[in-house]
Amino acid sequence: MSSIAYAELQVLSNFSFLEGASHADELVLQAKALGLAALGIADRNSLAGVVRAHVAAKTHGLRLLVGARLDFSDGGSLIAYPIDRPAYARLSRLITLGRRRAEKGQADIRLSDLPDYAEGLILIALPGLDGARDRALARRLVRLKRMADDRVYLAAAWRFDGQDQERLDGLAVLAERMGIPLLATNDVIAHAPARRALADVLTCIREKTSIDNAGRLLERNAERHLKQPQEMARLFAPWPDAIARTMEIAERVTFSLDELAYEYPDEIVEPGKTPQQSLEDMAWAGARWRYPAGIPDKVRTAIEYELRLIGQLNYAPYFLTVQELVRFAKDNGILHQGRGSAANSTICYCLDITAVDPTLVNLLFERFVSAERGEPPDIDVDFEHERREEVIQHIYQTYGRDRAGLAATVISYRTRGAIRDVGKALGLSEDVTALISSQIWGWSSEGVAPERLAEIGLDPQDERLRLALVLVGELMGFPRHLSQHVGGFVITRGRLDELCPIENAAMEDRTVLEWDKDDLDALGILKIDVLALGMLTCIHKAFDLLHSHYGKDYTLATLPKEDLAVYDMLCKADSIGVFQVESRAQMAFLPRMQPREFYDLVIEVAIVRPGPIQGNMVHPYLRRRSGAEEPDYPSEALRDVLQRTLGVPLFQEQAMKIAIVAAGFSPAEADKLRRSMAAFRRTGVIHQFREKMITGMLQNGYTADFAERCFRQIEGFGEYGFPESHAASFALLVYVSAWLKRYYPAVFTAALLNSQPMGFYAPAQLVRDAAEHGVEIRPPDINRSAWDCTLEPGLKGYALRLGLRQVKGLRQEDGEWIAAARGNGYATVDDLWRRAGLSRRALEALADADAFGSTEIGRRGALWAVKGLTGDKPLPLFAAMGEEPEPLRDFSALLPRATAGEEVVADYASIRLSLKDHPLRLLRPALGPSIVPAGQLVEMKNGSTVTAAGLVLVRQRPGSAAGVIFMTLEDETGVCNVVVWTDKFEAYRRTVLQGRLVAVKGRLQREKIVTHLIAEEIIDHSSLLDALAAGHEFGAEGTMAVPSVTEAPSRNRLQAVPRPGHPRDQHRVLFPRSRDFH
Amino acid sequence: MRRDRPGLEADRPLALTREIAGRAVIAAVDTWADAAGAVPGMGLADARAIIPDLAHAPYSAEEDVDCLKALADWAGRYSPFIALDGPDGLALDITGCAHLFGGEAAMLADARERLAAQGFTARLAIADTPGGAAALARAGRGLPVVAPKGLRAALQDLPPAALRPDGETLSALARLGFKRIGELYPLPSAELARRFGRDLVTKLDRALGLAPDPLTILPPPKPNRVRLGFPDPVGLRDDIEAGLDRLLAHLCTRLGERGLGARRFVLTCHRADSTVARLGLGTARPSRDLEHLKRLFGQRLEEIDPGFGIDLMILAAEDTETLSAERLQTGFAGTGGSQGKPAQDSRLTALWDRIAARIGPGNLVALSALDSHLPDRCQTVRPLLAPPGLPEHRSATHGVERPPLLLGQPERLGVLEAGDDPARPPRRLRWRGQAHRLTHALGPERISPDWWRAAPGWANGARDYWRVEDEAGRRFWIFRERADRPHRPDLMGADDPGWMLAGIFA
Repeated sequence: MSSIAYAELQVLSNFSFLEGASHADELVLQAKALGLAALGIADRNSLAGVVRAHVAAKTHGLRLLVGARLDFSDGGSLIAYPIDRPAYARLSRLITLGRRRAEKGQADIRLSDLPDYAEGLILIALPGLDGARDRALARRLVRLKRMADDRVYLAAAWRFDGQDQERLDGLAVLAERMGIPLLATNDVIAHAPARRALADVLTCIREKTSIDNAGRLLERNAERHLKQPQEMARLFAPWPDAIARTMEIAERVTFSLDELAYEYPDEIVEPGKTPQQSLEDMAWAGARWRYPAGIPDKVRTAIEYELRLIGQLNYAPYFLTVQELVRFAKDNGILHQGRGSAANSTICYCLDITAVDPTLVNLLFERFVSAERGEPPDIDVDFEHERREEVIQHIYQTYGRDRAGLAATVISYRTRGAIRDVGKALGLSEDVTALISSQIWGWSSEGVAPERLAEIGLDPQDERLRLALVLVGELMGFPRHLSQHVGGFVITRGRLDELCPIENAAMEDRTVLEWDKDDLDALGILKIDVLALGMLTCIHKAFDLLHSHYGKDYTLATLPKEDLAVYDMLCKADSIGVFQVESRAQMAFLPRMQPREFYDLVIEVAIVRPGPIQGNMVHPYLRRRSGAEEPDYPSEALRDVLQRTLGVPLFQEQAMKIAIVAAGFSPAEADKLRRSMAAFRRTGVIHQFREKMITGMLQNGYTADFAERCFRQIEGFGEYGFPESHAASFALLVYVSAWLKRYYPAVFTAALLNSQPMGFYAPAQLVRDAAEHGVEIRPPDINRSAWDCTLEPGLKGYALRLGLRQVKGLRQEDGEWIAAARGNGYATVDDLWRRAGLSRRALEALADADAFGSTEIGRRGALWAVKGLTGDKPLPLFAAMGEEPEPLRDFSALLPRATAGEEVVADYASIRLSLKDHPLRLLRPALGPSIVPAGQLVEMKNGSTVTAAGLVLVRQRPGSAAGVIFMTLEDETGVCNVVVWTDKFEAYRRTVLQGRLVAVKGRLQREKIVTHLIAEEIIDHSSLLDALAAGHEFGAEGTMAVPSVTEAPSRNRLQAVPRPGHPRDQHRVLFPRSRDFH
Repeated sequence: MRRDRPGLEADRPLALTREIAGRAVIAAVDTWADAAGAVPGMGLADARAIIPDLAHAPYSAEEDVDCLKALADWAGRYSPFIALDGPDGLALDITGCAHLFGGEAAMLADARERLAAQGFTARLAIADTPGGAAALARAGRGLPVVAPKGLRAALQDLPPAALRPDGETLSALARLGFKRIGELYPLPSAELARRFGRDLVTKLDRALGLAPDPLTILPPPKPNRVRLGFPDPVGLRDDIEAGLDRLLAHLCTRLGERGLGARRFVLTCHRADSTVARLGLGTARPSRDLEHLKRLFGQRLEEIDPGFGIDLMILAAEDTETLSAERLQTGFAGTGGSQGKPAQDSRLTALWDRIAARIGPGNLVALSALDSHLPDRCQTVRPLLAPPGLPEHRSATHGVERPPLLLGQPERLGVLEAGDDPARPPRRLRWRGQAHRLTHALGPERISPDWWRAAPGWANGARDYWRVEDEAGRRFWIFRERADRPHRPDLMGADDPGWMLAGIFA
């Protein structure tokens, strides 16, 4: 090793956005490899990247100095390193001050602010290219010297611009004269010279130019990287002190992020009691409330055990903090459900944090709260999505903005963004970047494979393109800016801004920490996720309807448990609207899974996810479940871990446990493994873990195949981790929503519609599904509907009356006025106008929705009347009563009469569904007799070739199924699930992507009760919808030839049909698009 | 209105796009792209998802208008009364003209044929009212010529869109189910106006001839071209020059009236034997300076061979640009030096023009600065009389002094006595057989090659440039490729050419 000790103290990581060209961990690894004594990372006006650096430095055993580079808005820059914890607090507050003063993402820190915060900060002044010739530098040094005296240094760095000797000499003289030590740095922006290209690309992105035009904005050379101490000593040979000073600073700065001990807020503790005492009292009180008939012994033991463990680990304040939130929600009637590692404990059940009965899932508490991990347990709480804001405001009110704040989310480059920005920087034509991007569906972090380029007609040998792809790969994962986390709150006892700088969020009245959840996690700082969940809103509304119409009162916990009829329904994949299990993939899985009890739902929720699918876990599980294969446990030790899932690891907890039991990891290591996957994806230590895990398992006698599978699954979890404890909480909501659907479909549908937007399906499908379950559906009506969907006495039981909320373009305020001012009902359009005081826009929206049915005024008549109203505002009521306007001659009889097709299409345009008819039934004569209605597909033979047609409801291209597209078609008899393989997609690209009404000829494939149509030929019939909208009527004899896109452009066929407006613009107005998921 | 554009492959569907909020949005499509499903208003990326081989070019509203105006000029062959009809149509008042073409139908056929020959797809119609003809042309089928009194019947089956109401009115009409103009006939105007606005009723009345609809007639075109015919052919240089002077005076006055200047002037001389002699010349800046132009033509007048005599001279100004009086004054006043730089500037450009007229504009070049760290890419040679539009480059200052003379090809230096530090310049070196003892060395300026393009001569990686001075006070710019090439491990151990001379300071 070298005898020269050097610490690099001027380093920008990539958290100096679009400037630093290396990840913090790359810098740390390189510094370690080069033999630097310490590394100081100081990003521009920010501490956002320091935790990553801290974690990496700890992992690799390198001394890290945490600081920030301050660019003053009134001139000059310096680097500040806090010596100790109080100085760190001051630095954090100073950055907060500057950031709160500026717009989101910006900072306005002034040199004049510094004196109040300078105590305990090492200040390294950064000269410009002019060096000592810059007179302002000397003036600034005088000011710094006055406020920090012996803690001021002057940085000197080689630029290799031909003037280094003069500049460094000048700086040395200036330093000498001022009595300020000169400090050697290398002004680092990258860990290695190979990052020069990326650094230049970042410059281009930042300056919004291209590499060919950037000229001297780019770096002259590749010298701004970490260098060996010997090299630095050689460069600074005339000024050896400047090298020694780096070690002086490294010794003076003792602060480490490990000193940021988190302290729970005081508010949660009852006076006179310790947190543990408070928690114990609450837990027992809760247990007596949960078990009024007496606490079962098993529960008593569990509570005692959990309380003991919590006491040992001192986690009581954490549980109390969560409990306080939940209590607020409960007092205000906000439905909530906790999830996360500790949420499904017996204590959380007693504290009403969760409603999952622990006896149903039997999760082991210590699996989640382990002594070794030494970090707070994880509890996220979901609240009704329409009322979460109340909870957030409660947090701000209780703890104050200086003690509660939202965590950040780091927005990083993914493939698409990287392609776009690198493409622009390298001057690739928009053509080419669009082409590359358009060939990539959705997000991925894998980059673009050269083979794919050749496929889309680009030359992979092209040098620019090759460079671009390499750079895209490098840029991916780079942070681009900070955004706010969806609901992760940090609450502290002292000032939050002394923990981490706080900046403005894009949303008004929101402030955000600079650290994201992984950072907080790494430092053991409490974060409570206050999340919004649409299904909770829906369930709450359903409970309210049950109360008001059926006089029944339920809560999440008191609903009848383990009702077999509910499971029967799910086994038939009758799950539209049911939480989590309503997607196509889940629906296909349910009949194979055949859930019979609550734990089956837990598995169901967790198994149809990228993690298990990637790890090839799904099919072995199903085979074992169906009895086709014996569960086989690689060892007795693993039997305990895997028994509940029949030997197949499905949950994150199991994967961790395997690493411990089978590969000999310590629990802390196992957790590090998970974290290295999930959080700091690029730490470069993944491979170490991989080796350790696989060799460990091989040593313990497991097969390489099993070991490989386990590791792959952990990898999958890294991206999409789904722990058993989360699955259990979701499974409860699955059960509750399924129960509501099974027993009260009208209530359930009303609640779903009243909670939109949420879930997977559009209102039309929800309504249709309800109708198929025997619910009578009634259209929105000015004399019957409220804003929300309601229940009203029907022919049998309650009928579902669609609310005015379904009417497109109607504001909630107007909708509520209609109901409020209704009295004995409205007789005419004019009546509604005067009494409810609606704007003409609102009235037109109602007319378009055909909501005047009870007054026997049709859609066009109503619209004609609305259009005929004069003046913007109705006349005052008394004036209207005084003099009736002259009855006008009614010309509405002269209006063109609407065909059934026009009515249906207009219904779709306004309320996205039609109760009058289904477009497919009207169009069937035109489609010809060979089309099989979807409802009859179940009767067709498996493997037979059939043609089905329908409206395209959903297009899905799951990331896990390479290139396959699922389309859901709907006709008047039901839905048809179409699978389009890649080759067919290429052949029928436009139809698949744009078709609104298509016919698919293909082969039927049936597994259990799920039927798919494997597309062979796809024909676009969307023009028929245009014809329908244009009032064309299709006789039973099928007079109209079937236009097909494989022939001439379809619309030519329609030239004979008179059309309103531009022929093809109409459908965009009149027909809803499908819901597409990538 | 679309025409083939140069540079676009003819066999691909085409869309013209414009930027809306940073997104390329389709403004117009050709028939193929239309058939394939691209529509105006669609994002380019979306369209590409459907039509992977869609070609695209930027849309320019001005170009469209220019093209339409040019077409209006052309249409003067059918009628002197021509008006623009929206951004994409022309209205011609052909009262009393049709018989010249053999009747209305024949006139339409003729126009259709001639337009097709120019590459235009056109929709044409003749009717009693401009509105009626426009509606029929845009939405009608089959019946392009409407007999008098037949308009009401001819229009009744057309969609209301044919009247071109605004978008809001159109959608209101559609929502009420009006699909044919005829369905509006029975409704009282007052009721219609109340619901759809006065505008719709006016348009309907105009189309039907119930309300007057005057056209705004375009002024007839006046070319930037003057002609002079001779009763007898002329052949003497003096005669030609006198003729040219008259033409120039006339043309410059006309350009002045229009506030224009031209960058190119073409003199066409028609000889008595029906052959033609042409003389064209360009100017560095747009001009209408009579004296200047006279001088330029004077230099080259002998190039015109009068042959058997010239009986017609035509002088045309091309590449015209707006040239305001102020610009004329600062740029081309051309008198006295009291005005300082502008006058000098104008004398300079006048000089360029004279030189260019002699040696050809392509041979007149200048050095201009480029923005790069690489010494050999800091300047380039560009045509001096570049057409307008090319950006001026930022001037080159590199913070550190660079020599005024750069060698085209760096020259190898011999090392007579190395220094202590191999990375620093040697003590004594030899250049072109002469020894130099170095007394001073400043540097290095380390310059890395452009990684994104192949830079000739830079294949070995970064160079360290030094400013050195010898005993005699001569100063050189020398460099050495770095011995350690960390970013090009493949070149480690390759030939080290040693120290090279890059340039000489004055």
